[in-house]
Parts: sequence; structure tokens; C-alpha cells
Amino acid sequence: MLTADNISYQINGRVLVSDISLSLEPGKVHLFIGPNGAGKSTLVKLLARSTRPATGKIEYNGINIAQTGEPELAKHRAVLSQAIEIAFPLSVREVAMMGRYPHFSGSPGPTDKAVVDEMLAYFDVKGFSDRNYQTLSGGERQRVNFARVLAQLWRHEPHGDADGKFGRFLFLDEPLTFLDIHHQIDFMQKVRQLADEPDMVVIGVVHDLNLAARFADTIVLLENGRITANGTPAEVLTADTIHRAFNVNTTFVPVANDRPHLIFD
Amino acid sequence: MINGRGSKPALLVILAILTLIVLAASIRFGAVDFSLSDISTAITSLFPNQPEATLDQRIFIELRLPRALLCVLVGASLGVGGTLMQALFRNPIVEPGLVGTSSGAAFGSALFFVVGGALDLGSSMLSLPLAACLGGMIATYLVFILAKPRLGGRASIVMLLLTGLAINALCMSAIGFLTYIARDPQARSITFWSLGTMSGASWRSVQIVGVTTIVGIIAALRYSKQLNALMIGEEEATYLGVNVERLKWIVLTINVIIVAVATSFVGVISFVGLIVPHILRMMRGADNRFLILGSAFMGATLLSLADLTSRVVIRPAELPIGIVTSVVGVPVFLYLLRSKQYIF
Repeated sequence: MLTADNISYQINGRVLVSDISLSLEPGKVHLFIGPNGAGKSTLVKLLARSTRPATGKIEYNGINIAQTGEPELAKHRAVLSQAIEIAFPLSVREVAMMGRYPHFSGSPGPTDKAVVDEMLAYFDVKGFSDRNYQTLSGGERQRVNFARVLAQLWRHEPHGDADGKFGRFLFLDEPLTFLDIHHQIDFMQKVRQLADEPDMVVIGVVHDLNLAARFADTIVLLENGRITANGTPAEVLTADTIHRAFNVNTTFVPVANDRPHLIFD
Repeated sequence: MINGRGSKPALLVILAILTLIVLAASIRFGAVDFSLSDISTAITSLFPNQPEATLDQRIFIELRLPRALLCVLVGASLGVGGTLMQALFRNPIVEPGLVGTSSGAAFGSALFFVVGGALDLGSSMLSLPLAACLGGMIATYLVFILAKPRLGGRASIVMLLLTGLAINALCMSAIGFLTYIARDPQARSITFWSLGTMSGASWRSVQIVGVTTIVGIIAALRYSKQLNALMIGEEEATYLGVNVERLKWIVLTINVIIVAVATSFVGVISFVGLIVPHILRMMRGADNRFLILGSAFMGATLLSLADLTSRVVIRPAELPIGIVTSVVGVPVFLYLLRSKQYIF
């Protein structure tokens, strides 16, 4: 469970996130949507603690993360950002192995190597694990980084071990940029599967409202740094809220699984 | 494909062997060539109950041997310094000579030569390296503070290089001024030494540089994993558990200490720190643990070769070693600037 209690953040006098309280349950996919500049990425950075809030408190399973050290936090929290560039030649395997850095000192152990192998295979990039990351396409890079991030959160015992009380927190900051439609859906399905692990909280920012509608358990709508709607896709994605937030008119197409499908006029 | 996908340990062993071969050549050849029997009698003369060493043997023990060893140590320091700077700034064209470390250290040392004598600070053998460290540290930190954008964020590489240029020019003109007011012998040693020279090598300098080089490399290796994580970005490194601000401070300090202490004895030697990591990256990729060890060996090898060259091309006279490294280094630097392999 991730809870945020009245968090606010401003920079140079401009308020980016204002007085947000949230409670995000494990075993679910929580997606943030909102117009450009609504504060989605800032909120992800605050919840993942790459930025510290000016006021308010964030807890992972009841543990206040303001006091947690970086190495400890990195065992439980991973973030997939968009478009990571590397100025130097590194192999795909070396990049993916970085995900295990919080878990070993010195050289990687057999578990670390096995996890990286498994993740590279899972994301269909094992075939070029010796290739230079710099020569990959945007989509291939994103898959390598997803393998890295999941290697970081991978755990023998999904729950019940000593670390289990902390939980695991996966943040996705616009992860679908550069992915073609096949990989977008494949990627979201993998995210969906991950959220079936009972200690995993998945939090993401997406732009495509239909993907959000299809894969989210809860959708949080942000406007001007504030939450203006929070609930299931059917609750949040209504013609009124979408018109208010994005200034477009929406037609809803009924689909089988009770999730709205949106067409914009 | 990472160019040349061979094993990293094997390459490190080859580089270590190369270092030893060049060291052996560097011991044998120079203004005077020593045969293997000269060398062995010179070394045995150090043991008790052996005949007194001849003049040649004394030259070998007092001049040639410490010079060859100092060269290996300084080369290793400069190579590792370059690797650390490039890892820290995620840019292949940064090296200690370009961001003020070397010239600041040179200024600190020159100041010590000219003013330290008058103030009678010359008693301790650590005074000179300390003055160099201080100068190097002030100049390097100054470059980084001044290169930072006023609104926060990361220093751009252009800002860094231009600021480095300015601080280097300032240090060099300060050194020029000190040369101008210095008495003749001081002035000569300052001039020779702002071009880089190995001719002042002594066993004392070998001891001091030996300690900082070895301790510096061991310390740097402890941070190689964190420096790797930094390659994918500061924010990403934070997510992988790295305290980025602390890492920057520590690595910059390791770098300044190893480079400034080396500089305090041999003067400004540019471009070793630039070329060495680049060649290694082309061979086996950018893993920093490999780069730190590899650049220690390769830096040692290249600087020893440069020193050997500087001693034999116009013998019995010799060239300042900084001239040799610049002649080789400048084309490599220009090539790197123009290459499309890197993102600036």
C-alpha cells in the first residue's frame, strides 16, 4: 500500500502539485491521466522520491520514505522512465544487470545472472544481449530498460520474506513512448500480470486514454496539480470529465469487458 | 555490437604484461643505455657486502629507476583520472587537463616554489603535493561551480569546457607571472614543468605518488558500480540506490588528489587521461570496473612510451614529455570532437 498525505510541491513559485492525498493498493494497476502540465510526472517523481515534497508525507506500507536510505529504497522501488540515452557503449546485458546493483556488492552472483537472463528472455531481447545499447531502436531500448527495472524488483519469495513488509513499487513514467502498437499492448499486458503479485503496487502515467481504460484498475485524473477524479475506469472516464479536462468531445463504444472504449470527435 | 567482444580479464592481463615490457625498456634505454648485466650489478650493489657502486650504477639507481617507476605511476593516475572524470560527466571529451585540475595543481606548485621558499615552508616533504592538491581542488571546483547554469540543473559540456579554458588560462598566466618574478633557477624549473617533465623523479616522489595512485585506484574501484549506474542518468542512478551528490563529491576528490599529486612532481601532462579511456571503450565497452583497471595499465604504458620517446629522439638531450603527449593527444581529441559516436 502506498499512501500520500497532503503532499505539495512547487518550484520557482509555481505550484506543480498541490495538496494531494492518495491511497494506492497493491495487486492493482493505478494509472495517472491528465492534460499536459497537469503534474503527472511530478507526482510520479514525488511518490518515487526522486524529488522531495515541500510538505506532506509519503508512506510505503506504513514506512515513511522520507527517512529511508537510497540503497534500501532501491530494493523495493523501481522506475521506468522514457527514452534513456547512454553516452558510452554498454551491452544490453550490462544495462539490464544494473537492475541488480541494489542487490549485490562487488560482482553479480548466480541469482543476479539468472534473473537478468530470465528478464531479457521475457522481453524478447535476449537474442541481442551482447549488442551495444546505443545501436538499438527506441522500442528495443525501452524493452531493455523494462527488463532492467523488473530485474530490480525481482524476488525469490514474492511475499512473506523479511523484505516483504516493505512491498514492491513499480513506477512507469510514460513508458509507451517509442513503442509500436503491438509492443504497447504486449507491454501493458505484462504490467497487468505483474500487478497480480500481491505485494506489487504499479503506478503509471499514460497518455492514451483507451489503453488506460483497458488496463487500469484505478484511474487518477490530474488537472493543474490537483486530483479531480479518482476511481475505476468507468467512473472516471465519462464524457463530462474528459470534456472538462481535455476539452474534447467523446463518444463511447460499448465493448464486452465492461471497460469503456473512447472515440474522440 | 560492442567492438571486440573478447574477455575483459584477458585484456587486463595483456595490458599488465605490456606495462612490464615497456617499463623494462624504459629502464634500459635513454641518454645512457644499460645492459642487463649493468642493471643486475647495479641492483646487487645495493645489498650489503657488495663492491661499491660505480658512477653508472649510481645513475641507474638514483635517476633511471625512480624515473621509470614514477612514469608508470603518473601514467596510471592520469589514465584513471580521465576515466573518473568522463564517467562523472558522462562525456568522453572531459579530462583533468581540460577542467582545471592540472593547471590548478601546477599553479599551486609554482606558488609553492616561489613563495614557499621565502616563507620557509619547504621543510616537510608533503608540502609540495599538498600545495598542488589545494590548487587543483580550488581550480576544479571553481570550474564546476562556474559552469553550472544559474537556474540549477546539470552543467552543459560546452559550459564546462569553456569555463575550463578560462580557468586554465588564468592559472597559466598566474604561473607566467610567478616565472617572471622568480629567480632564475626557480623560473627554469617552473617553465620546464608547465610543459611536463619527468626529469625531477626521485625515490621520494615515487613513494608519495605510489601511495596516492594505489589508494586512489582502490578507492575508485569501490565506486565503479555506482559510476556505471550514473551512465544511464542522474535520476535513474538515484532509482538504483545511488546517492548521486555524494558520489560526485567523492569521485571528484579522488580524481583531484591522484592527478594533483602526480602533477606536483612532473608538471602538466595533458591528453593521457583523454586517449586512454577512449581506446579501452572501443575495445571492450564502458564498464567502469574494467575501465579503471585498464586505464591504470594503459596510462602507465603510454606515458612510459612517451617518456622513452622524449629521452631518445634528441639524446643526450630530452624533450619535455608534455610535448610528446600533446602531439599524440591533440589529433585524438579533434577526432573525438568530430566523431558521431558520442552525443554531446
